[in-house]
Amino acid sequence: MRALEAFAIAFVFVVFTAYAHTLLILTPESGNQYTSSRALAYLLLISDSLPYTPGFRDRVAEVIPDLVFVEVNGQKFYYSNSSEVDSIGAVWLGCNGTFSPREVVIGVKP
Amino acid sequence: MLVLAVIIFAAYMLWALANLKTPNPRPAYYVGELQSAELIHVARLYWSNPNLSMSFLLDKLYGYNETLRLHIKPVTYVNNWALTASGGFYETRYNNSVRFYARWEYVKIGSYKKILEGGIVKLYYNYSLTYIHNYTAPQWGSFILYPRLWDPLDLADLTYKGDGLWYVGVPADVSEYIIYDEFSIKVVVRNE
Repeated sequence: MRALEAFAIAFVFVVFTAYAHTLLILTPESGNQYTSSRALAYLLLISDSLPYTPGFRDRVAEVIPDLVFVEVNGQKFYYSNSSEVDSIGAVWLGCNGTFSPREVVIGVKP
Repeated sequence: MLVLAVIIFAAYMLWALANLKTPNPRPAYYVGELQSAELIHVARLYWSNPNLSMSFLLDKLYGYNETLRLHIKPVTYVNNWALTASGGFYETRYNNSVRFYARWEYVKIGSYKKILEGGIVKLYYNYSLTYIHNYTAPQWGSFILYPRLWDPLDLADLTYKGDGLWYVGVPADVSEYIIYDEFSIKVVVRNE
């Protein structure tokens, strides 16, 4: 009986240790900051004129995961709520030979 | 009884652990593709209008290190360009291995007569022209783009065949004809 009890205790301890270890593993990063930064870079590479068009915000929403807001030259548009937000900024200095900066800031969930 | 106590204790400890806020380190900021893309954009804007000097554009870009936290380090650059009888290129090479390169090559494939407004018949030369942009950076290697071409005077005949290949018909009575890409960069075709 004692041996059975000892075995049961040991079994419970092993299960506990395994579960505790799993829970203690750091929550993996979503990587949203990297993904969103790359997506902004892609938009910058494929077009100089995108932020000057009305469809820019929708285009950003298509390529950026977990988007919270898009801000263009101070005008902010929200797409979702989040208590924590990572901001990534980019600038389009102009297009078609014209210097006309557009500051773009996107907020994504961490 | 002891086993039961251990089970209850273990269950409670697991529940407490599950409700703990686990550390979740996040990067303070990420420097990578976006910074290289900004430099490509600066070079492309410069070649669309060289009156906007590179130093002016780069100074403006560095200014956003404060306001937008762009984290762009100062760079040096070398600009090159050339026009030949069969093509040309524009190149900006930065000292951090980021490079903007736009190139076109063409070969005459024939001629045709075009009836313009007013019934004027004009001789046109037809060229097979390849136009590409190649953006290189350590983060992505090589990024190839095939920008659209257009003619603000609407005299040239432009037909896109795919993969950067165009058939371009231009009036034969000029020594060279200038068309533009979608970034307003000049593409010069010299008549043979």
